[in-house]
Amino acid sequence: MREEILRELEKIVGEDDVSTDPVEIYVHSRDSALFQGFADVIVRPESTEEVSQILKLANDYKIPVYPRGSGTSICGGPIPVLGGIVLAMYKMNRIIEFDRENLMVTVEPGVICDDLNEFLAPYGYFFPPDPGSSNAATIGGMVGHNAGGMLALKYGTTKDWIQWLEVVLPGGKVIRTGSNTLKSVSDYDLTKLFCASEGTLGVVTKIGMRVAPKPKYYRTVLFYFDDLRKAGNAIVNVRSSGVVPAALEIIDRISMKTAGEYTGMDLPEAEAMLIVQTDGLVEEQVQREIEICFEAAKKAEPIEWMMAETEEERNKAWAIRKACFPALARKAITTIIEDMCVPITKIPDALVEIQKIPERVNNLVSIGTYGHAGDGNLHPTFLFDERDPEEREAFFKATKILYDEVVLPRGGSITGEHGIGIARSKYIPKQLGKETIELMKGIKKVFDPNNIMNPMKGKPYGDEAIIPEI
Amino acid sequence: MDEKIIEELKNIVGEEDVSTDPLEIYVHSRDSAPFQGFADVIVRPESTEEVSQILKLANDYKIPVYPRGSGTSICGGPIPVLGGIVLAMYKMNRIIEFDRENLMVTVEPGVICDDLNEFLAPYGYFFPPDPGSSNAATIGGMVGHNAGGMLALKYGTTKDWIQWLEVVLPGGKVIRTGSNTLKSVSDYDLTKLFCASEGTLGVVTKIGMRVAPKPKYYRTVLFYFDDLRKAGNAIVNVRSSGVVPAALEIIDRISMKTAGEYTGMDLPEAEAMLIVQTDGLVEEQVQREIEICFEAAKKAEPIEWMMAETEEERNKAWAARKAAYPALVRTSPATTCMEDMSVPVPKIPDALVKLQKIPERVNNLVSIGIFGHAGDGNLHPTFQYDEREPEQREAFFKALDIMYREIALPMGGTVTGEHGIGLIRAKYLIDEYGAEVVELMKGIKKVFDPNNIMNPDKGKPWGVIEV
Amino acid sequence: MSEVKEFKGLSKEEIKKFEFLSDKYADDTFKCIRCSYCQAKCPSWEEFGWVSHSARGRIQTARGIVEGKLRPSEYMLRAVFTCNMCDYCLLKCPAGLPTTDIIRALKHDLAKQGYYVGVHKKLVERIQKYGNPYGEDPAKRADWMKEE
Ligand SMILES: Cc1cc2nc3c(=O)[nH]c(=O)nc-3n(C[C@H](O)[C@H](O)[C@H](O)COP(=O)(O)OP(=O)(O)OC[C@H]3O[C@@H](n4cnc5c(N)ncnc54)[C@H](O)[C@@H]3O)c2cc1C
Ligand SMILES: Cc1cc2nc3c(=O)[nH]c(=O)nc-3n(C[C@H](O)[C@H](O)[C@H](O)COP(=O)(O)OP(=O)(O)OC[C@H]3O[C@@H](n4cnc5c(N)ncnc54)[C@H](O)[C@@H]3O)c2cc1C
Ligand code: SF4
Ligand code: SF4
Repeated sequence: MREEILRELEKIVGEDDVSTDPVEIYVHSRDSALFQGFADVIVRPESTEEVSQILKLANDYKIPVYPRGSGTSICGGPIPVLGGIVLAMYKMNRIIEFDRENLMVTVEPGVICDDLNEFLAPYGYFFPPDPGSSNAATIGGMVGHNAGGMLALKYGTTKDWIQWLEVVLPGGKVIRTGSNTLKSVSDYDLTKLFCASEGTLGVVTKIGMRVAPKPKYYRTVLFYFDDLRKAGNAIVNVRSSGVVPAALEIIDRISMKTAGEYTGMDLPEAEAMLIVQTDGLVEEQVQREIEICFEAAKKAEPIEWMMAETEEERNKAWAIRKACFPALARKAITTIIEDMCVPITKIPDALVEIQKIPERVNNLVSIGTYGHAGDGNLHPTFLFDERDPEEREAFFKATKILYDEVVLPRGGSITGEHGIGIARSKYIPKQLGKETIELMKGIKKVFDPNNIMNPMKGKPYGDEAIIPEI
Repeated sequence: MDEKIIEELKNIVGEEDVSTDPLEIYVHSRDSAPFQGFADVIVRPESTEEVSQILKLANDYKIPVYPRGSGTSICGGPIPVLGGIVLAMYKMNRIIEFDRENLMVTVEPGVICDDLNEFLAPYGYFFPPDPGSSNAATIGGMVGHNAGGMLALKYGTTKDWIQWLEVVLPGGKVIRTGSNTLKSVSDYDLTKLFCASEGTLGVVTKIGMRVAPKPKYYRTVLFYFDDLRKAGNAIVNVRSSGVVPAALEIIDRISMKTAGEYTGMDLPEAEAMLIVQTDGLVEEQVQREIEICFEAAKKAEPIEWMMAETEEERNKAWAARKAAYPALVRTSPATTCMEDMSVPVPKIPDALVKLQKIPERVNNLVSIGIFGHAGDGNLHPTFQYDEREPEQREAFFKALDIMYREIALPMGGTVTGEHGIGLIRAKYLIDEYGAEVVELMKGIKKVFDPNNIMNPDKGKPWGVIEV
Repeated sequence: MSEVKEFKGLSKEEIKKFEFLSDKYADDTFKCIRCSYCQAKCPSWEEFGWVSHSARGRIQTARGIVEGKLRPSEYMLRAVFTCNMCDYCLLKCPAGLPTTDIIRALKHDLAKQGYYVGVHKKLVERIQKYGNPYGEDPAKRADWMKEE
């Protein structure tokens, strides 16, 4: 990168907030996925004004810009595949305003999800989207990928809570989408267009969102099934019971076993475990709802169940689900959480097929699956050693089977909440069709005519995306 | 319009589904707003394939196309301002599939909202968006404007329930947005982009949506306030009580008075009436929630209240709210225009006070009754005047300028919460968003519709209408 | 791609010199899933605000050395040695990585090859010159008693 550009960047944000040191560039070269790419410079802006000047400069010189939150993306989302500027949003982490009367909060994109909730808790409110990574993920990154979580079934995903955005466009212009009001249909829905745009349309610099009253009561029940199809029936039964549970999670045999060993808990031999939770402000309702869910699920013939009565029992019930990922992660050199969504009726079928994948690749990878059964969003978690070229190849082959043979033929989506990034780019045409990709490219061009914003990623380029070396 | 094109249209949909009769053209020349425009032809397609061929033809010849549901739009949305083809979606009104296990239903755009709910009721489900016009509005039109309603506070608006859309683009290509799954982030959110696009990007031909379990219990309470600010406090109190009521409606003095006279009900003298309703599947919860709302609202010192215990009492509580609009229509000299605006909830009293002063500013040539969805700040000031009188007509448009430019926007509000931009609110778009956002919208429009044939020259995205 | 050329890193021979790290923790550096759980409240991250100065950054830096993409530098030293070994990251890591052990190994290997941060450098120089880290003449060792 030309020295004069670095000088200009230093002029904009100050010398302390520009780094070209190889160590800094290296530690910004990956997210949680396998891919790697090196930027020329990492810049930490502190204000909308600074972001605007950077995007003007970058646009003038056609330098790629990659907005980055905490880099917990698992699809290669923020990776600088073409060099250029990583725009690290860390310093823009103020909670600007909490309007208690209007139940809206305004934040900068670098605020970490858990920090926001810690701030809201004393007032009795919370921001419901709860990715597993909430102690690290930034609100900006959550908007970038439209993060969901266990509560999504009842409370929706990030975009359901975002009312307006301040966005800096390539060239430096600052716009505001949406409205301070709870409803508005004056614009094309640009707010939701930016949610899940993965940093490809502009840089989000301010976020206005609603918050929800924090539930006061919780009830949890846990089921074990000796047959995935029975578990599948239980999911359908609960979903059609009329109650929308706050969580409806599934764990498959392998994840259960691994989690059981890791936590030292003695779990029954079963094909699947389901956890159902209800929540609310009125105790009788929460209780009644869990009873309805319980009756509904029981019809599907679980082999065992546990109604968690006390806080302690509830924590125990959740311990397994929460241990899935750490337990799996300890088992291998490389752990990659994949993402997929199927119609809920297809969950058992999908699980059976997923369990057959390792055989197809000579057992060079193993897979534990768990996920948000209530909305069909599963996270098959792949274990292997990325240093071994054979295993790496097996991993890519396995994901191809996952998407091409398991997910797409079942009317599913290749990503429910983790995004396209680099990892899933080549499967987009099959899901959406070439025509839709062309439309997305058109939209991209409207916002970013010089293609400087997180360029050549799966969204919107599909299979034309650049897959960098690993 | 060239005879040849009419012939081609007939080839596509059949002779019976093409009309150029002046009567047919006339009855398709208006929606519920005070504008008019004449099409060259009305066409009733029956399938995606037919829509696709029509849009290919129209694109080749650059003929404007206006998708139309029931024409209950109140902003000039579907009006054929530049002539061309009105695409009447009446015949595409099948409920294609109800997947009970996935809780999803697939419909054609011409299905009427109430019909869908009637179909779902026996299964114990419903489609929550509930515009006042639900007995006429089509699902396609609801997608077009992203219709809301009284339940929006708790259940959201149309787009919150739409999972995927089949859309025909100008040129005839058919795309599908979104996914059958409950969550998907594979595409830019094209589904939500089409919601509220007002027919300017393409024709929706199939709609996949979620449904919700129908509540079994309802509780309703009604308050009267002698001061708008107190009513405003009550709204804020209820909203911060932790309960999200199923409805939180407000009616101002004028609407109350009109409705009272119309229904013959004896309503107390008050500045505002609030209705709060809770609903759910668990009776104890619904009861407890209404109690919480009741306590919260009572702190704001209503002069009177009524807790509706029985179904009959509940109907009585709603009678005044439901009568607000018909009563205003009946007492109007000729024209009734229900307008739309939204402000942040705490600004409602302020907005009401200012709205009530508008008639004075235009020599009382219009009068205004106000009601609306207080819970989300969405108010419907309803204007009465006679559109045949040029002075009154002018006064009406001046009143709109005051309403949007001096009241809604300076309060951080929006010019439309649910009725759309169409023709009537076009010029306020730039006031609300600035020229830059309007440019972006134009850019998006061009991506989908390079020849500008889809519902052209409407406020969205142009901001200013050129004719 | 980036025009920064240093990502060639160390040769196999040079990497071997990071013996503590390569012997014991090479696998662990790959096991890091880069979830940032350890980053959010890492005290040195909160102070410096560069990822290199956070727990995640340090584990990644260790990987960079092991996989031959980074070489020691002044900046690296500062990034690694500003860790105060508080163990917050150790508690947070879902992969169960011995984060502080890895950082300790990295510090150790760097120091052993003569890469120290400014203050360490000074200490070593003083020890070499005076036989103590205080930079005082050993002859004056007992002087403080006289002052009493
Ligand atoms: C262990 C683990 C568990 C996870 N669990 C979940 C889960 O349950 N649900 C879920 O949805 N995700 C989950 N994730 C994925 C990830 O944490 C989320 O996608 C998260 O929202 C990313 O936030 P981030 O701050 O790390 O963003 P980054 O990874 O830094 O960036 C994400 C994307 O957003 C863009 N971006 C970031 N900031 C901005 C900005 N200011 N303006 C414009 N674009 C921006 C980036 O360019 C990038 O494309 C998990 C990840 C891990 C490692
Ligand atoms: C008395 C009354 C009360 C009302 N109450 C409410 C209310 O409470 N809440 C509310 O939100 N609205 C309300 N409305 C406004 C109106 O009823 C809604 O906007 C409704 O959704 C319009 O449906 P429609 O079928 O009449 O559509 P139309 O008026 O025919 O069309 C609406 C728009 O959608 C487009 N469109 C229609 N079909 C398609 C399609 N298949 N593909 C693409 N575009 C299409 C049209 O071009 C047009 O721009 C009310 C109207 C009246 C008259
Ligand atoms: S031990 Fe070091 S890296 Fe870990 S949290 Fe503490 S300061 Fe940060
Ligand atoms: S918490 Fe562990 S796995 Fe996550 S980034 Fe830190 S060291 Fe890596």
